[in-house]
Amino acid sequence: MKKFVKHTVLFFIPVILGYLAVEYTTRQLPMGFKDLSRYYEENKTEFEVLVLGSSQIKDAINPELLQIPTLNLGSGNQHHDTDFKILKGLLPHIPNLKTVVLEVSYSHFELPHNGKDFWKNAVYYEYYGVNAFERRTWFKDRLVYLSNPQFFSERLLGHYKGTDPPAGFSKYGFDTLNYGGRFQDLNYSEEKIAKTKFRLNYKERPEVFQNNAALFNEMLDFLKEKELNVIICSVPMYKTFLSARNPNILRRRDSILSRIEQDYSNVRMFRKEEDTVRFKVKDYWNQSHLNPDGAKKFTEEFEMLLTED
Amino acid sequence: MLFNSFDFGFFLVIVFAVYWILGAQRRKSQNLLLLVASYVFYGLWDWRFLSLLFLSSVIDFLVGRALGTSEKKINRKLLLWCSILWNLGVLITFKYFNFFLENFAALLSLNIPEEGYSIWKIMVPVGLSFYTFQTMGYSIDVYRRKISPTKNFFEFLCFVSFFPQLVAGPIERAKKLLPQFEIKREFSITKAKEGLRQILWGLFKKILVADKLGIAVTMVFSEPDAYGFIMLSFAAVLFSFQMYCDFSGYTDIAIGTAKLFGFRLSKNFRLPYFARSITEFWQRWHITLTQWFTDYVYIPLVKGARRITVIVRLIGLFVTMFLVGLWHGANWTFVAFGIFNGIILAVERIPFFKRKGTLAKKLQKTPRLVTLIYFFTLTSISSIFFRSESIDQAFYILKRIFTFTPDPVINSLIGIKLGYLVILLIAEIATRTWDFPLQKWNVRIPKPLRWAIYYLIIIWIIRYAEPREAFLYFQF
Repeated sequence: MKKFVKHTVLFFIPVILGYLAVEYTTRQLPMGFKDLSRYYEENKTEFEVLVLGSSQIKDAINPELLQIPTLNLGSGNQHHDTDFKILKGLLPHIPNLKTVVLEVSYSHFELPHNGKDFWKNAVYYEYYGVNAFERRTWFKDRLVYLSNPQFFSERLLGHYKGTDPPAGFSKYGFDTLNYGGRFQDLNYSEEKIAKTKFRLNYKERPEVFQNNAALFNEMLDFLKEKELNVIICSVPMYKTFLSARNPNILRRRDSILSRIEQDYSNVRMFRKEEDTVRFKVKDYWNQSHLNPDGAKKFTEEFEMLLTED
Repeated sequence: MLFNSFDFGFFLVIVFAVYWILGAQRRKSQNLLLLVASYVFYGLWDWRFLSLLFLSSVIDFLVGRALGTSEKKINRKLLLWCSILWNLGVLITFKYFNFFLENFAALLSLNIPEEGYSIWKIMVPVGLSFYTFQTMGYSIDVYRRKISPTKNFFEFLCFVSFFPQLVAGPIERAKKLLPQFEIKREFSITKAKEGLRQILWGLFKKILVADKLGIAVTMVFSEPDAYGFIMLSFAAVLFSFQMYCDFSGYTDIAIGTAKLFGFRLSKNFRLPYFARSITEFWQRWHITLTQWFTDYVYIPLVKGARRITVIVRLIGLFVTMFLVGLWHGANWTFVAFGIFNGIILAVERIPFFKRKGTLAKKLQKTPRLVTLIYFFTLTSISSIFFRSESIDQAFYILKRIFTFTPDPVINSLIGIKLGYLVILLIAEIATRTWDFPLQKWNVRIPKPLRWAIYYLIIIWIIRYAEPREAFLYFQF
């Protein structure tokens, strides 16, 4: 028995040390979360606007350009259920909060929620102190690399090999150098872009829709109860994206949004999805995301809405 | 708690340490520890279903005790039916109620408001089909006087809830597992190391092969209209391997874990894709389930007939396979999976040839290439039924395959990651007489090389792990 324990311990010591090294290195990577965490900790008593949503809104609102102190916690694949958990987790710590911005993109209502096993939960826990696991946590839940080894391994390799596009996170957690997307690769050639395939959810999921719409209403009720203003926001999409959307998904979403507009007096709409006049090809990172130039235009318009009152 | 999670590793280390600190001399304390650990393990999924697990154990224990003292045939039969009705009742209530109700309503064109049965729309308890079959098997064996009923309630609770095999098998017989709780279990360094190696191999199968194949399979099966016959057939073959690696990976971890505690669990797979016929496949695939159905369903069905003829055997086979399909889940796709396999098994056993020769026997002498094509064609069709979201989707995919719908693009779906499957197949075929490929490494390969390979596998596993992916067979 002693021999077995000795051998097992000896065997696992390099594994544990190796892991600790990888975890440490991962935490040294440039990540918006880290800057956001710092920004949040330093200014949490001042924030008046909280932005929640997916990568589309993360790339669209640059808090640096806003007069009103704003925290943009949009993040890739972050769905409404996670937004809600973050909101509930942070609300007690942001005493001056007046407005919450919620993103409703084209297929938000027909994509399944993140659920309690979403890998970013570890990141939220570590950097924002929000427990989105819906259970008791322990030290393992803070391990960033282990939350998505595949993703962070690629990030580590890309960073140290120098193949990752340069990241320039401002103190507001916004990536000001985020230009190196699909459109830049294609030299912003509209002809080439028109021929390029891209991912878009075309699949209709009526059951998911029902579930998501119910949660969204629950969120709005919660915000109304807390006497907070809400801005429902959609971000500009490139024209090829707009024409590829499933009309049924679109119709269902719009019906929900018009009902919300009637039912909730604290809700305002800021729908820029189909703005093809102001937003040109050079404002996009890819078909569904803005680059920092696009974000500048979008944030300016958003600022106007915020200061309307 | 999933076997492929950090949480399980932590749990295992603690239980293992306490178990062997207690030592073989304190067998009862060790059993108590295993019982508590098993209930914690299960309760972490959903503590509400612990009562169901406990109740199933109590009922079958009491039935066993009563059977042990009862001599009257009618009383014994009554007791046996108590156990069967309880276990099947639990299964039907939690797993099949909505399926039966919805189909019944559809058949009679009834419009049942959803509110009327929505209370039944609850989660299926994890591993329900496994532990109910295990306890039911115990009662049947006691009834048949194949085993004596146990007098020790704690040991029986341990037998039903033993955490390594609680949620996805192997479905153990009381004759084999129960006595292991009744004897002293000495620590064996050889067995413990073998257990760790088997766990490592199971993790390799699950994380590096099954989960990677799963990505490709999900991609194709979620949008079958975007693919033609080559890619759909390829995805069906990949799913066969995904299912194998997922389930046998789980089994390897279960068996390896049990070895760490001095237990021996049954082998559940013997290179199923080495089979030459579907008959042979079912002797190699999910062996404990096949044996369960053979002993408790097929044989009683056939023996119950006045005369055992070929027709009776075939009907028995067909009914058994129908139930095997249904055991996998409350969906017509699983029923179709069972029926399809039942038909093929029946065809393979009809004595078409001279001297009562059957197709199954002929295939044993047929060149490997021919049997390979025969076998993979049939298992792929069967896996399409298994994997599809609905029976309509299954037939739609089959239609696209058999009408040779052209593919817009042809690719490997997961690129270089397909290499893991190749590594697995080479390793398994090269070591086919062993229980698993790493089994006898300690005598064949020098320690530094062995450890280097283990480290490599561990690095691969950590590096390429997808965020949480449940085992396919948990849903059953």
